[in-house]
Amino acid sequence: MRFALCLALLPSYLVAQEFDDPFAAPDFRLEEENKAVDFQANLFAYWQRQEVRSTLFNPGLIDFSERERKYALDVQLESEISSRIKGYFRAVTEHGQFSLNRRSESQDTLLEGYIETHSDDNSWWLTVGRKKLQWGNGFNWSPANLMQPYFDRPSSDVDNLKQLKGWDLIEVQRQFDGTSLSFWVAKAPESIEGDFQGAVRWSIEAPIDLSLILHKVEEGEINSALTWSHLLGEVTTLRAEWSYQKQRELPLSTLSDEVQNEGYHKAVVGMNYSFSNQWSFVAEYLHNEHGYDSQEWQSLVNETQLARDNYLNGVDVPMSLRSLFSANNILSNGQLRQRYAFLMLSNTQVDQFFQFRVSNQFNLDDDSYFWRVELFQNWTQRFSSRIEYEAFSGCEYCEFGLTPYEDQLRFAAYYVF
Amino acid sequence: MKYVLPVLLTVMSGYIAAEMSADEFVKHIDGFRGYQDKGFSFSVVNISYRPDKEPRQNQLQVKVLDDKSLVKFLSPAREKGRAMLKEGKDMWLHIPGTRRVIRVAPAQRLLGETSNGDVVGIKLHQDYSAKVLGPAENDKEVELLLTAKDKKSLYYQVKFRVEKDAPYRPVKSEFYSLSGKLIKTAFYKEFKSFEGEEKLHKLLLVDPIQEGRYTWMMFDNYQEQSLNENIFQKESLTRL
Repeated sequence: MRFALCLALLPSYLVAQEFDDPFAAPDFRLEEENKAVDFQANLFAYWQRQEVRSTLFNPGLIDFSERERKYALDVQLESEISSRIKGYFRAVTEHGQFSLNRRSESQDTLLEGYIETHSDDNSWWLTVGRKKLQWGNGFNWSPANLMQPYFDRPSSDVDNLKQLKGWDLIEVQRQFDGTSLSFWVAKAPESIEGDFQGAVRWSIEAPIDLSLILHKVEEGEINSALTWSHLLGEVTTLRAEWSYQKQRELPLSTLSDEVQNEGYHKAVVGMNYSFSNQWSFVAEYLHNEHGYDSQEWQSLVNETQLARDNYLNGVDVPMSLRSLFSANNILSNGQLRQRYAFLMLSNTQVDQFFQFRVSNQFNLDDDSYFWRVELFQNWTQRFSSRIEYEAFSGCEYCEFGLTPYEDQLRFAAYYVF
Repeated sequence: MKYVLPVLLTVMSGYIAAEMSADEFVKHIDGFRGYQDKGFSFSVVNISYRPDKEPRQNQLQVKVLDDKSLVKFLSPAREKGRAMLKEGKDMWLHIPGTRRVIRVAPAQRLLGETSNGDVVGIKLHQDYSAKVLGPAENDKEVELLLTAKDKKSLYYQVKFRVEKDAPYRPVKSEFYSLSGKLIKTAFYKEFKSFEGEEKLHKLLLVDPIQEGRYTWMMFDNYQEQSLNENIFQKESLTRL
């Protein structure tokens, strides 16, 4: 009988022995949520080395450095002024030596700063100030983000916080049961004619996740976008986005700023598959009518090639310089062609000591591509680092073969206060 | 004969009580993690262990109303401000740095060794059919088998050991996939009274597949709250 009792108690004895209660430790304490004032600061720095190459678009014209470094302090402050009024502020101060001009630069940027208030039942919301809007639900491409202060490629450089700079706007939102309607009025970007732009967004939530966006710049035509996401079983999510803009994003020629105005579609479809071991796989396909077709691309390349030859031979130098600078500006926009694929494998959703992400972006029109490998190390609750390697590959007339860097290696360190 | 009747009555009462109260047992289990149909909030601390690695810790604040849960990350510092909304099987994650709200799958783990379902509000009596398997060997507990109404559920079957007598605390549970593979074992280690109601306070999750991996969870600060349904919307995730 005693023997039987000992056997019955054995499993619980083992559990108690193997798994000591960490919450009973004298130094254990809970984090307190401070609603009145919540302050967070992130100090980070990166050092980068890149392999610069001469390309058709840059025959030694722009002197890129092989080294780059940046130090930055990102400060966020949130305050609950009253039970119905909240204030939010985010700014970044950066100092660095960048590849493009080799000079040291310092810059302070107010990314966001707004006051927000709501009705007693949280159904009406009013926001005034600078705020970043995010309408897309894709990972790599977000055609639905029709209002963009900067070119919106969040996965291109996570250390470039200027991508998160918001608009100076007024936002009104009305929430219903499972749906919402939002209105925005914001300053128009300087590059576009007109002082203001406006947008309206209607969205439905679970289980259908659908939103329709209409956007108009004061002097322009109405643009529209649609987003959709869907859960497939327990492990897969699907998403799609589509936009239609009257004005094309890219000029047809390096010698003219004029853009076509015939209406252009952009659409992305994607999926995310979650493995049981905390890894996930993302695949996306982009169809982009703003990009150049084969004939247009060949014409742009011929134009730039002529400008390069003229520049090197000292013929019509001012015009050649203008054409070459314009070609490089176009190149920095990204997605110059019409068909792209994006693949990513990562385990970065879960906080753990090592996190890993590898991603590829393929230009399906010219077979050029770039790939990126990132290794994150979370040393402590506050200190982490990241090593990133990027490589660009393609023929001399292909998009990713024309980038000024062949590859780049970056080491970044982050400390959160 | 004088011994037969009491023995028979004891066996029958135990059998009847057990068989008739399968769903009741499950409602009691749910009761240790919430306030049935009322809104409530609580905090959770998860500490995950792996062999030869430093333990990882996070803290979350959770609000629950019906089948909706809102989870806000308070720590670690680099994940502070993240928020997750769960509405049935639909889940969205907000990453404050980018202001993106992305749909995530129930199987997509965001919390290390703990699954998303472990930290949000649970309603086993809605999602599972229960039956009593019989008394446990120690005769102080009852074994229950819960089978998911939806075959696509991450945990298709859950085998529970629950105290036979009031307050019917859960003692241990084993989570199985549709293929019958044991995915996770949970030990209900400690309970605590909040505003007069006893709730689960400490839970130990053990990974039976990868030896040496386990997670301690501490649930605290349970509060019944009048919560507005509008805060459980995807649009509200960016405003927490």
